[in-house]
Amino acid sequence: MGLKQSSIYTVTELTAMIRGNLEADPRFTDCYVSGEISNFKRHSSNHLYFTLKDEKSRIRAVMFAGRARFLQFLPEDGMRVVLRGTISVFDRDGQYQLYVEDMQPDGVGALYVAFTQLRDRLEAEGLFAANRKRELPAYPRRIGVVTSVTGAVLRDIYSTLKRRYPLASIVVAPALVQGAEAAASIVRAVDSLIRFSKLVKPIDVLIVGRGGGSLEELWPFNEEAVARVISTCPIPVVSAVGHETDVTICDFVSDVRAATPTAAAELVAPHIDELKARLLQLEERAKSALRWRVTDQRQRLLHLSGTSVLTQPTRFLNIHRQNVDFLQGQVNQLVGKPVRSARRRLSQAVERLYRVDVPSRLVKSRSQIDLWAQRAQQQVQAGLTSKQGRWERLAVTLEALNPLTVLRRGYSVVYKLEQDELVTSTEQVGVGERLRIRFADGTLVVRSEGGDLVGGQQSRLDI
Amino acid sequence: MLADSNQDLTFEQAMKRLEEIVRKLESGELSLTDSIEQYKEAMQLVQLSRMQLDRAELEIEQLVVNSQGDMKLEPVPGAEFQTQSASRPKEETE
Repeated sequence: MGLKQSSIYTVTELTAMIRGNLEADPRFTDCYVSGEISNFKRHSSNHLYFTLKDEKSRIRAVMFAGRARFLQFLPEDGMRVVLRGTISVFDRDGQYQLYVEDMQPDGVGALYVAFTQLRDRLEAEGLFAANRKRELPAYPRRIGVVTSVTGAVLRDIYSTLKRRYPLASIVVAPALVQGAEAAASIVRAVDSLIRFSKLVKPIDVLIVGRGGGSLEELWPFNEEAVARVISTCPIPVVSAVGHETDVTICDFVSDVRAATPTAAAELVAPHIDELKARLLQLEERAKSALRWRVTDQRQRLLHLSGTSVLTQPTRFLNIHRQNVDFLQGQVNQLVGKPVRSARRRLSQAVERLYRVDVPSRLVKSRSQIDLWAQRAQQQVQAGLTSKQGRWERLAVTLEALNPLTVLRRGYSVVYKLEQDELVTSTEQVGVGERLRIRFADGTLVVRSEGGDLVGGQQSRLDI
Repeated sequence: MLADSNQDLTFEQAMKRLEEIVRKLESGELSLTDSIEQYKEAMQLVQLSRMQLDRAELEIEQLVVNSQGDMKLEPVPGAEFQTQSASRPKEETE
């Protein structure tokens, strides 16, 4: 009874005490534990439940969804991990547990660093650029697949395409998808499909894939050689590596990333039902287009046969007649106007011409001419009369001056015979000198005898 | 119009040609005679494509490259990869 008094706890009290004790110990708070995962379960609430074990011991662990969503990997049975957590007690089961805060696959730290570095380097090179991503062909005839021929990946792709798109044919290039040889094997497989496409039959699209796994298992798809062969591949590439949460460099360099191999098979081709529907739709469109065309033609014909041109051709003519009238009016206005004004000016000119009275003008002109002629004649006459008078006066004068006239009156003129010099003085003539005497009716040659000259000679001598 | 040459078209080419014809028919730019010609070709293409869809059977082969680099296509091992026509006799025996 005494025992009862001093130390009887309820289970709840005891459990609470134990928990208090554990939680008070700083070594159980934020401790790091390494071990292997087993009995892994993801509850529908997304809390993770598993057992962490090593060769000798095990401890139950729980990771609540709020923490689990930050995980970069999908934990699974057999995976070695390092985790950080706190020890506490789950009251209901009386179980102490590890409440996990954070977890990392053990031994992959170095890989993770390598992954990050390569990713950053290739990204800086532009290999992940969105503008490098090619469109996948709409209706691939030949689909190349690089994967293991024995894995679930090929079966998933095959069954998906068989169901959805049996029009294609698959060419598999077998490759190791994990282990040290895998990267080289993947590169060879991709190369062989590129060569096949060039030399044998064209391949329209490539799927490179493998199932889910740890970072180590997926590692070949993070190697630079694989990244390079995919980034230079002339055929569009779909990457289907691991599960939804797995991200590899292969995903980054591919044209399209598929979450799973099945998703990849769905991405590369449309569903056959979709094609059948599209075909039916095109058929219907062609039919209705032709139907419409025929109906349209028929209606046009009906419309034409109903138009007034055919039913009332005269009305049609009338319209045109009216048009002609109108146009004529236009022509008159445009062309007639200048013609009319020219015509008016012409008739005015003619009228003026008539008004001039040519005959009377002619008479007038003629009398004018007569007048002028008369005046001219008078002037000439007057000129002539005056000139004649003058001429007569001159003639009288000339007559008077004519020496012959003087000679006729009995005068004569004496020239020296030799010198033909007029003799006007006795002093000019010596004795015996011969003289020529000009009479009115002729000449005589005489000889001077001297002495018997008239007194006049003397008188003259006197002078 | 090109019925004979259309026989060799791939599904993609047939669909493309069909889409082109339907577009032309719908545009109303064709004469009635041409429309009818194009319509005939469209129906041939529909038939051809539908036949391709109905008869389609997924094929799978693996590419094997020997040490000389020679390429060869071989069947993929595994019953699930046998084509329907190849596996049909088996089904009948069951």
